[in-house]
Amino acid sequence: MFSAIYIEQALQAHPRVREICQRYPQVPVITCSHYGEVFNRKAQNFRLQKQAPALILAQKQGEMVLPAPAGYGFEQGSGFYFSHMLNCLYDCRYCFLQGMYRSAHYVLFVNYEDFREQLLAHFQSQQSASVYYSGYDCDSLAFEPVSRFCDYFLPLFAEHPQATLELRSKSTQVRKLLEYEPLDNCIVAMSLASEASAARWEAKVPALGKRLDALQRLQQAGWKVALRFEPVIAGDRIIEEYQQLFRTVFEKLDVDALHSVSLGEFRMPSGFYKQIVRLYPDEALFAKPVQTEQGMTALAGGGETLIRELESRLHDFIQPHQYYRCA
Amino acid sequence: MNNMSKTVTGKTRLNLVVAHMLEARSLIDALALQATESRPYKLFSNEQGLNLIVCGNGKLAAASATAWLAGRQHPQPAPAWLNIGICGHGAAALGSGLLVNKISDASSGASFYPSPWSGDQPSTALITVDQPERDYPEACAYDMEAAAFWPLASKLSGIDLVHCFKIVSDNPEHGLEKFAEAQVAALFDQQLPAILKLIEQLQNRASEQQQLHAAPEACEQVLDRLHFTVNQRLQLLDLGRRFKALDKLPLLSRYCDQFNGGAGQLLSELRGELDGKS
Repeated sequence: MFSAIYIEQALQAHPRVREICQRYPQVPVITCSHYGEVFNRKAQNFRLQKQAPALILAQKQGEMVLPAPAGYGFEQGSGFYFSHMLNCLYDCRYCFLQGMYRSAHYVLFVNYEDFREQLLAHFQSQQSASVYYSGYDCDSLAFEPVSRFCDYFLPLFAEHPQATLELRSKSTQVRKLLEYEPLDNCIVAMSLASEASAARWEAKVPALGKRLDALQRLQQAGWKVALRFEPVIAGDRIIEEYQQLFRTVFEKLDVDALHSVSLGEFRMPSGFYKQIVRLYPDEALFAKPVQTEQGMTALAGGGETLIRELESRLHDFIQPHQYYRCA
Repeated sequence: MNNMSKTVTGKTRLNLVVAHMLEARSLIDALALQATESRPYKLFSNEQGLNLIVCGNGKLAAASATAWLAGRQHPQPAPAWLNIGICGHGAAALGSGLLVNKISDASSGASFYPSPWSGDQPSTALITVDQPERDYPEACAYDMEAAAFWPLASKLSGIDLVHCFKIVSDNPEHGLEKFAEAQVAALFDQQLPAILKLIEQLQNRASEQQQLHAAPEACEQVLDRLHFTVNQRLQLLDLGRRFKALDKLPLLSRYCDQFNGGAGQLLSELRGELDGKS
């Protein structure tokens, strides 16, 4: 699964580190002083590394709970994110992480206790209900068998109902969630793209049918489920493809029980986009015409008109109060 | 042995840096390398893009030979580099072939991390020392070049295309005093299949990178034929990349071959083709 496991020297005796290393006895273990020595180096090739990513076990320092980017999530109080992990097991060609990080290795911050401390302080400092997103720099659930993220953080949020946790994922790893009683303040948000988009650009991501099965099981168990139709990538048959996706999804799930549904266009900071083009000059997606405004790059031919059209189709299936547009 | 060289395909450059002629001999034979220089370094090459330089013992020798070799080569976007040599080891068996996954410089304390390899080749941490290590205090490899070679070569290429491969020649059971130079050839011959496989994979990896970033031929030709400013040249190469990614190279050729106007006009027409009809 990993080409190597890097461990920060100070963490060699950490129980979480030991447990993970025991799970992969054949994988070479390499010690380093600080994860940045490996992860943040210049002249790395994300594309080459993605062929054989390593796992880096590190300790997160400094501010761990940060304001979520505007428009990232639903409007239910202030939004924040915390990242116990950097990078994702999947290999989605459109993903902004490829442009944001120099390395494709996975970083897992194992000092959950420090996250807990900062989250608790944060909960107390908030005047009103707040939302905490865990899937901004990674997939919240895909790594669960190794990270045991849910095992640690679900009980924490269970004790603090004023704080809502969003687990954003493309994974079918819901077994751990199903072992728990559903939390009213936890939302499992699945990112979905049309099957044509997924086939072209979502390498290693489980098939739509399997993900819908997972969501259905969660709903049946009483968990709150949300849908994130993003990134919408403009193309010739996009309306037809998403119309089909909506039909498939809303036939399978209990629509009234959905917590929220959002649409978001393919766009990212221009610097990230340029970096991804350098990595994947042969990718047709990055040869399409683009438009750049206020430092953000998006495909030409998408934009307001496309999103409005898709919103209109989406509203044939859901109630207006369930919808928000992702910025 | 020469049959093995046929497995190394493509003309992407791969530079082998080897400390001693005794270590180089098996590789020269197996890869059908021909002597091309004798001073200041012995250099051997073949038509498949492989170069082998004999650098001499120690960090300074490794760094200066690496820099010298890079300096005399025509720049290439992603050349691969491989340091091959014998090493001492605190735990591994004699004759083991090991990729290096961490290099520590004993004198400076600096550490370097070659990228993990996807194959099944075993790997080791390595400490580069100034004098041969006779006590093997740690369960890792000991050499005298890698800590100078790797950081320099990775600046010249990229971190993911620079590796070190070491063959264990001495360890606590078979110390340096028992090591005879005559054993080197046998150690290398034993590891030759692994070395050749590594060379092939590394060169293929570099070749993929090079092909990814190669400008379409039509762009190269029109750049020779028309005057482009530096900025216009970059625009043309980016448009060429887009035509290539969209599988429209024949169309690009038609535009470029028949074009007799100025560079600006060509860029405008190419852009119109891609952005107007997509």
